[in-house]
Amino acid sequence: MRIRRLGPVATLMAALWFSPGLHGQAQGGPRVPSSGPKGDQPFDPHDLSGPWIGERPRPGILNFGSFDQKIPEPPLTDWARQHLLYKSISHDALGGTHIPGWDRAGHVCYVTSEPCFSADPNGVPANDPDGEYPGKDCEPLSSPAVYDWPRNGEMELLFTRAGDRIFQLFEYHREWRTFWLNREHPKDLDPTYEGDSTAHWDRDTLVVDTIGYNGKTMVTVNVGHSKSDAFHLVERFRRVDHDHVVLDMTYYDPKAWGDKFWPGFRKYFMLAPKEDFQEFICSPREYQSYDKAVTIPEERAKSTKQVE
Amino acid sequence: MTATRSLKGTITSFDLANPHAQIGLDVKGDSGSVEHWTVESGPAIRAMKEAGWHSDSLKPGDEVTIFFHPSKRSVNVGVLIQVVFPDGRVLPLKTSGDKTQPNN
Repeated sequence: MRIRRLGPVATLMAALWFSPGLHGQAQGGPRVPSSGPKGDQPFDPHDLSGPWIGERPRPGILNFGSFDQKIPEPPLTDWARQHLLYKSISHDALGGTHIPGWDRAGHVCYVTSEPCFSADPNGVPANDPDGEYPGKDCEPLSSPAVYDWPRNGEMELLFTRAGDRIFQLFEYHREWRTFWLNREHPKDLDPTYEGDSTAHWDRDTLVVDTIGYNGKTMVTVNVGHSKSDAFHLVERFRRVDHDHVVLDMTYYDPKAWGDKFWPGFRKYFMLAPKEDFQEFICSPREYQSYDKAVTIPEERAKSTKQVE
Repeated sequence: MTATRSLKGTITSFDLANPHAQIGLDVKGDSGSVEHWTVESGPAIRAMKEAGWHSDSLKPGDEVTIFFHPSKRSVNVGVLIQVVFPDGRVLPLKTSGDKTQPNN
């Protein structure tokens, strides 16, 4: 059965696309960008509506989950080592103990199918098919882990405004977040999976500040521990030309890293106006079926065989 | 994933679902014994649909040749590259950075 177009949703999205409701206070009106053959059309830097899709790899960037971020994680506090580490993670790590043969000719690290590390810097085993990953068992991904999936021409996200809020919608697992434009974080914040996000325009950059996470989700797919409930995410969205948005993120977690923070995570998105915002629902039954057919047989046959 | 293999067999199931599509394939050996394989897609469903796949692209009973990257753990599991029908039709799976796709 072929997928039907979501006619009413598409119509709504088109109406919002042309609505001024999503725009901030544009300074000087539309600007012509200075780079990129596909981006050289007039655009309003305060219009983030989209829809956007994770850019495919290009020279200088992989944009494939967290893999291409090579900034070392701050050292964990003793409390974090006791309370946040996972038993194992399913994907590669960002650093740590190399697997045998990782430096052989032709081996490419930082690609899902070519592991580089047997354990992360904190000793958490990596590349375990039964390990933890964002959205496992259809659990919420939460930010910033949810950004691991808009990548490589896949998994859209879009922004839509309703009054004093901007909603950020992710195709992957149909997660969505609310960015409040006209208020501060509540003092009596109730922790949630997505946290509480406030946003404001800093010239042409939408700055989003999120706290109030419930501590039940991963930092990203390649980090072997969860966020604590003190995790603090700062995102900066900047539309650099008509067809591209760049997201810069900084991670803070006083319980995990003390007074240190983890900067430099960047995602690249490109405009995908002709793409459908497809249904990507996490069905526990479908995941169980997949595990039965693939994950469990591989797990049972786990061996010490080295990378070929 | 650098190792590549192909198998000719009969489709037993095809599930265009999350997290990865799965293809069930029965492969008859020279001795007449049948081995069952499960081949999953690497990319998510969106990439498959962009490459032309639909939920009815494969049906139980279809005779096909599947090109895939076999599991490194010596089980009958692999990651799909493409499916070729007896009449020459190809269901590719375009993946960025995959340098091991066989020539059509």
